[in-house]
Amino acid sequence: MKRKNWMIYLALSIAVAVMVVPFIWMLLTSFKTFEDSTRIPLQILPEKWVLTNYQEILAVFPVAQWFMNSLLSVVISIVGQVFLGSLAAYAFARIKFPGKEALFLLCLSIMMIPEQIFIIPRYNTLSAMGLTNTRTALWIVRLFSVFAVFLMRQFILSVPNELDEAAMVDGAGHFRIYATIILPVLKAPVISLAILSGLTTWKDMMWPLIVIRDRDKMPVVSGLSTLADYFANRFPHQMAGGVLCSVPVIIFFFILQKHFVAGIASQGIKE
Amino acid sequence: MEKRKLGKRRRKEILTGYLFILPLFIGLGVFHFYAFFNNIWISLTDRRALQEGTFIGLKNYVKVLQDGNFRQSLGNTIQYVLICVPCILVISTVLAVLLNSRIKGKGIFRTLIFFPLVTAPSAIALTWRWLLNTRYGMINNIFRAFGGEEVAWLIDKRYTLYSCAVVIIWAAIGYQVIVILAGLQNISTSYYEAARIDGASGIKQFFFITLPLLTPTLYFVLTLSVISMFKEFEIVYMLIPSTQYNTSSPAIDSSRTVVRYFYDLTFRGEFNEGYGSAISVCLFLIILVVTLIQNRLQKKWVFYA
Repeated sequence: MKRKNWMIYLALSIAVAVMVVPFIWMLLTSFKTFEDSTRIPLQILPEKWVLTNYQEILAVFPVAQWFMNSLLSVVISIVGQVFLGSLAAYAFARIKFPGKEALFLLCLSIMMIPEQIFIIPRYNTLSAMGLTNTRTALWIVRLFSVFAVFLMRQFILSVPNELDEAAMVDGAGHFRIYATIILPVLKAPVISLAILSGLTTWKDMMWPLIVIRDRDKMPVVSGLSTLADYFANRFPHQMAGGVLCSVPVIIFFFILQKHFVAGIASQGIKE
Repeated sequence: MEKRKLGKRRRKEILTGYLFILPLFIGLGVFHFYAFFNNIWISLTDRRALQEGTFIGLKNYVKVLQDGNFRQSLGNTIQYVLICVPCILVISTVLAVLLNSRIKGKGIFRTLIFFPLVTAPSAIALTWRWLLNTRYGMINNIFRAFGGEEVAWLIDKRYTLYSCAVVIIWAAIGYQVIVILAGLQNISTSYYEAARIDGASGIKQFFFITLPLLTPTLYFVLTLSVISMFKEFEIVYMLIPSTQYNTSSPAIDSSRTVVRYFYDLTFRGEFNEGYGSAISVCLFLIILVVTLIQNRLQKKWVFYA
């Protein structure tokens, strides 16, 4: 038994090393001068710790603004998905109206379609509305989530409807039932949705690359991509950019780890 | 009297139903339904950036079938599926089983294995671009120290796809370990107790209890991973970047996915929207077929207890 534990520790330590070493290397390189970073044989610690890479990046690139832009699009898209999605989910779960099944199937079929098929028309639509190269373009296409409807409908179906019926007898309309009975109990699917869709919006790079040109309107992911182009082959600068763009979210993850894990785990056991 | 009142209420209920789904459907209408059909229409024209195209029938699709670059990108994508998906499944399952065992300090191990999942893909790819740098990268430095030769991981077209595959696997592990771990914790302990009474060893328990009961989760991870390989863009794009005017080189061609080819063609270089949308339609059809095949095969190996 003891020997088995020892092997588990060894295997996990190797896995952790593989995950963590790239980040440590990024961090160490970001404090090196260019000469230091390209020394052969390789030097692990910086000969001289410098902050100039960070200073030069922050002088050219609005990294804090990128975080604001990412945060804005993540928060607005989640709020939109929750409200628009829960309204529709309520209707699909609780109200009888003609064409309901067909409309719901139509929604589900969208989930099968890769996003790329929508991109060119969306770009043209936003361009006609004068919304390309604006922060609005980042979140407006993400407000309407079929996945959100699906997730919350499943949940609403599992809520017993005695309460609704009692409220109905008291003369409450659907909107009141939705707002006072259903919406407050949607906490669990809302957290899952916030984690999953927040991660998708935060990580998406293609759409911001296409739709945003000005540096100060970019989200973090595509901002870092332009930073890498700007500092081509200047490795310490690129790594400092990487550190600036990943450390805040990693701290965020450490704080909210429990929710992240629960949110991601919830989709595997939906069956 | 009673009947008329009911009818009125029913009509109100129907109206409420439509009103509830209306806000969502306005958005879906513009950004999904209209976009979908508009995209198909564009794929039948020779539209380029900023100018209306004319109808050219199925010419773009014929071109897709004859396009060597497209075929190569599809071949690459299939290779990513065949290389990355099994690796992701095996590594994530092993790590999840280890993290599920009764050992001290597993909370720290978990956190350290999970955290890359929130890191921006561009930061991940940038870090690996540096690690894999031919002359100064850490990995080649280690190779040299052991008397090996420098390998041009991200330049030599024999290696580019494998280098990208490694980084894709690395970036995907954390997320899938969480999903599999949840599946493991869902398995009732009574199975293991019964097995222990029967004297089954740990390895036997894994293959005869854990694995069969985990198949629904593994199926989910499998479909998720396959689809995400078909949509892979960020990592291959950031590891081997193209420039505004140069979207083709041996290194790029040998590693790019269909989605990156779509992006390179439509939003860099040629700005050929008609052809780009034809490629996106083909991608859709390919994903559809893959999903249908997976659903068919599901019945063969997934075990629902």
